[in-house]
Amino acid sequence: MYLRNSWYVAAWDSEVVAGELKPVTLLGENVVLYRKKDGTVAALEDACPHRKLPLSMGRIKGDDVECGYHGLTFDCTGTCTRVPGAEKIPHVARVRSYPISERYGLLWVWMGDAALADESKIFEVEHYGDPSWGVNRGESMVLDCNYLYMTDNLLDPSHVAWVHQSSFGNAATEEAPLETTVGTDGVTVWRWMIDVEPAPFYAPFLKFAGNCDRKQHYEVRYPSNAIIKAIFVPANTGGEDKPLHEDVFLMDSYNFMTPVDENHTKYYWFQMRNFAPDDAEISSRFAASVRGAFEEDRAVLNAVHKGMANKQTPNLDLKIDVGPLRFRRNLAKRIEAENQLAVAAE
Amino acid sequence: MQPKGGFRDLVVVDKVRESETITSFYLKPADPDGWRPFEPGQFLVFRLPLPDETSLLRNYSVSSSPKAEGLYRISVKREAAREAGQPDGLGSLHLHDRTGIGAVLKAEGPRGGFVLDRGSDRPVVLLSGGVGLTPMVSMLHDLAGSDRRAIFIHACDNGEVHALRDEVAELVAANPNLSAHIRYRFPSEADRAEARHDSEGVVTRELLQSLLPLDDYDFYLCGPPPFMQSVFTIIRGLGVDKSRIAYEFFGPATVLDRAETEAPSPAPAPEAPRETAEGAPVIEFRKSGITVPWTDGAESILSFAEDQGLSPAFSCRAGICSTCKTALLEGDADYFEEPLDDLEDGEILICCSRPKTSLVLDL
Repeated sequence: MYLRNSWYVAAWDSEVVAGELKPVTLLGENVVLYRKKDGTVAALEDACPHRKLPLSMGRIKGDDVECGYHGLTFDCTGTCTRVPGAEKIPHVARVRSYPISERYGLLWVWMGDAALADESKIFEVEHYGDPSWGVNRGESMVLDCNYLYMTDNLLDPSHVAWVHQSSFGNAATEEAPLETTVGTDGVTVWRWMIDVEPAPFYAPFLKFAGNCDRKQHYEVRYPSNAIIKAIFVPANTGGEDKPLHEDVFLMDSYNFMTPVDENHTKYYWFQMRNFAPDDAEISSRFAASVRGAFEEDRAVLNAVHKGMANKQTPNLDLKIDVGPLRFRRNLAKRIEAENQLAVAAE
Repeated sequence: MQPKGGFRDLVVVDKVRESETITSFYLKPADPDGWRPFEPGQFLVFRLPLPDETSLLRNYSVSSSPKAEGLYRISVKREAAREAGQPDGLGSLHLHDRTGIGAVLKAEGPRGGFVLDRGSDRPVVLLSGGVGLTPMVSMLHDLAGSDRRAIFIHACDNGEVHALRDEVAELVAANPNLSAHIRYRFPSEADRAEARHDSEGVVTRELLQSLLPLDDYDFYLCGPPPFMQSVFTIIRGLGVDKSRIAYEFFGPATVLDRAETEAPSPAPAPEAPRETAEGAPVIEFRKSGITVPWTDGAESILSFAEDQGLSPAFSCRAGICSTCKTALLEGDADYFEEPLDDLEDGEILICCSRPKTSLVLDL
């Protein structure tokens, strides 16, 4: 089940190069991406309407795509421009085209009703392009799990103490109680931890010595995009609604989950930091550490998906699941509303 | 330090037959440091094993003096089935028939808000019916030696079933501030011959008027539902403010339903008090036979149930997993966390709710 009237990340922009057809799968649909002569990207249904050969096995012809089986050709709107050997082009010979937009180095595809596509609804990344902020350019990976296990994970600061013992976690992450805020566009789970040791992953980058006040802010917005904020300030200067200390360490992690299908998720991420904007060494160190931590998540979530799909006894929901389950419930309601709307429109 | 809550072992150090139907058990903590003091009126929660290897929870008031540190006494009525085909009272049978000196009982507590208000200096009226005298006797012990006036009015069928009679008589004889009035509904020839009682009949308005000079009293009521209903109505009719009446029901809660049709009611069938004198809602755990006033400040109905020694199923304690879903037989509750799943009428999640009115729960 997916929310279709939404923007999903389909690829890094660098993955779609001139002259090459790039097949991707989102929400169970096969899509082919390619660059037009002006450098912008087009997204078409990746199946010729004749015998359903993926168009990505064909060739780019100018701004059009030619099928590799019998040469049927489609422009970037999905309209068939050529059927070799036919007197007339059938009106029904067309493929679906998807609204697509390039932002933050990512390609965003609108998977719902094209008439509703609105670029202002693409996830907002604060400070992007701000010269005083650095970017830890991220990567992507495929997880063998349903995307909702990822949204669970990103609304669950408590897993950090067990899954990421070597990196983000420290003893304090077990203790402090979690707050859950259900908003109009998603759910946030957060907590301030006061006067704790900084986690080893962040400690070398803090501008101050000694203990810290640390905020974990885990926010997932519909359909499946997350911002995780790590805030560190000198001990006893932090807390909700207090101005941030001038030595504050801020790192915003952006996480975009695209359901490939019900059993696989493509995960894209990058991070924004409020220090050393041009330090490539720091960027790559962070990128490497984050990759390592996410591999820890992948191992767990792949196994969780398998375990939950084949459970022999019931599973439990605990207090720590309040945020994740509220998110799931509200997303399900949105999906249901969208489906009803679709039925009503037919 | 000894943890305050939780079940611990109490050893039966003596077992005394008090009447035809009531037997006392004297209990000492197995762990010599495990003594937990109680207030007069409080009860212990017992987890009693059943022959089929399940267990059940029963509350029994402590009938001994709070001043006798290290020793609890409970006085338990053997509850035989009232009708053919109905089971006997399982808890009381276990104690009467299968629990001897040296036996170990699992008990939790002391608990309960039905306690003598030691901060008040008003004279005290202790009104009990049948086995409801047990907390009253504990209160009498507590009042002995003080100068606070107290009258103990006790109603039961006859001398055969009248427990702790000599103990009360000795207390009254030794303490000028205490008095007692014993009333039998069906006195025997022997009762009359030995003057075991002071009057005959049920508790009436006239009796209370004759015993209680005009004054501002603290009333304590304990007994089976028909007794409670009629006495509550009488003393309210005498103009006693609710805030002066504390009470506790005794007996299996199912009796509550039958009471109105079965028991010969000495007064027009009154409504059971549906809240305490202080206006707190009353929570009835029907399956468990526990009826207790809500404790202000209790986190949730679930944690309140646990405070009474019950163990309802739960998982999240945050309204999302529905594990604690329970049938709500009567009353209304408020949610402090909205349940994740929609509930049917008559269902309640007890982990994230508190009573709005008095409740009857299928627990």
